[in-house]
Amino acid sequence: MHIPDGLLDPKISAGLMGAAAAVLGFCFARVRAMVTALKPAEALATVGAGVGSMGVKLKRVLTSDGERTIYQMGMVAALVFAAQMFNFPISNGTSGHLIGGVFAAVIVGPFAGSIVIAAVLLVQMLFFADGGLIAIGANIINLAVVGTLAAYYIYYWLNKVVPEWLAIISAAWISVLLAAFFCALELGFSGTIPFSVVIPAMLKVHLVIGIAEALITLALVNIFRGVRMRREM
Amino acid sequence: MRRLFFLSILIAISAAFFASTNPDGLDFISEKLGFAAIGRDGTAPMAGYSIKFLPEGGVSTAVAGIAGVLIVFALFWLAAYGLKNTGRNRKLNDKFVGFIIMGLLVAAVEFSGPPAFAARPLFTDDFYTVARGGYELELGYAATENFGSSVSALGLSFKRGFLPNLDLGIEVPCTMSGIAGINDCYLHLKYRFWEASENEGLTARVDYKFDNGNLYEGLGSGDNDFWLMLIGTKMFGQTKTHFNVGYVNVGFNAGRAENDYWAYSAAVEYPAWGEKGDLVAEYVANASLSPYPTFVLLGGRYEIFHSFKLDAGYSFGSNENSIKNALTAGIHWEF
Repeated sequence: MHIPDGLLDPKISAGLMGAAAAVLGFCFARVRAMVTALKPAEALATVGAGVGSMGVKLKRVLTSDGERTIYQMGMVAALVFAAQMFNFPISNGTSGHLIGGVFAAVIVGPFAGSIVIAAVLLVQMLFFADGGLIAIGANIINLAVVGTLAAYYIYYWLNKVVPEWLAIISAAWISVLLAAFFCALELGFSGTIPFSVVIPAMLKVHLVIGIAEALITLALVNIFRGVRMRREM
Repeated sequence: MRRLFFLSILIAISAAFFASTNPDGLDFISEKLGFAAIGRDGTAPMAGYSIKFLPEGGVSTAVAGIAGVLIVFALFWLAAYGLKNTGRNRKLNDKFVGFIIMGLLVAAVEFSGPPAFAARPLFTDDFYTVARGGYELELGYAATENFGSSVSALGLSFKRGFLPNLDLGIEVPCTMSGIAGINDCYLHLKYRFWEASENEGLTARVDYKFDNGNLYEGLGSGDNDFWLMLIGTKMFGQTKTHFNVGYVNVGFNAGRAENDYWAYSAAVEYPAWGEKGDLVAEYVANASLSPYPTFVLLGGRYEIFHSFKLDAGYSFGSNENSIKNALTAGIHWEF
């Protein structure tokens, strides 16, 4: 569901780029706070730096848990990138591929998950011409914000009332529909195609793609947790 | 974690061969509803998940997929690296890591084919430099039995010719067994200053070893080393001979007690398969310990297609300071 350049109105593309930058900025701040800790600067001062360095300054340094979190984000991103290459056939001439937003958010958390999906989209756009340069804001909003950050909270609330596997597959299925709905809205607002045509068409196809997304997400979450647990034992 | 990395690569490769080529949800609708035509295809190094210089098909997509997986992971690895290294070497290391990534990216994008000269499996260097604007990539694996323990290691060397007689390269050694990870990396500068004929001449080489390895985990030495080497190549009939004499300064620029020694080696290459392949042998020694660590290597290399060579070698040492046994195998590619 990577929108190429040309389908969206430039004003909408620019607006979505700004929105994407704002949300990602917030996510970056949250992840930075998660992976670093404040340490007094004098503990870091080199010998001979003098009494001037002995003030009560604080400095952010990467914690070892934080470093592990970043590597884990990289691992999830690599897995999502590979999985997105795998188009599975749906019906008469259509295929679908994973978004991976719910998978990333369940494993590394909603904010880190958004950054992971945004990084994958960026690499796809820069190196593989998958998704447009000007449409990158729209793609980040659809897949990394709606399909990841928002979908995570669906998982979060469902997890309180139903078993986790059900929460994961429901959130994954809804994430695809939500992303498709946002994509259709953007196309409609751009005047590319009337709302009444594009919204039902997008939702109909992604109802089926969402089922595959749900199953793959559940499998990936289990594989990822299984490998991690074996490593800790 | 490593398991998941292999899983990603496996998925990317199988996607290249088994994934559906039908348009995905959005593409299908844009075609059906007739607004696909107003979309513009972007340009990118691996547009459409394929490598330009490989024939279209599964292999090309698989290589692009693997490159993508590595690029995506490298982004996060670099982020962790940047956040972690705030100490005295930050500037140097950041530039250096950037250089590695840029080099690999350029390698993935560009393609041309000047003539090939090989150094692997020999440790002894030859006087040739990489052709101007050309690239040389070497990947080697070695299993070594050493002082009662055995170590396996993977090394990547990447060089580019900047002038007709000057090349610059980096070498990234990785330990695979025990504590796995990247060891201290080397920067090489090679200058061919005297040429008697096409195959005879003298070259000077300067190496600088970084201290990027994590000493506390047992990777790298924690020192910046400096090497200066004089390399000569001479033909005797069909047999090529190479002589290396080097001065090594351990802990150069690291602000600790300095230690230095001499190193020397000699190698012969015999074209047993003519243009296609050589049999090689060498003798390597240095004066860092007493008795001097020395070893002999026997091996060969063979060109399987244009500028792409496979090589293998076996080496053994002569005394208790030398390696006992080592097996090595690798590839050499110029482009």
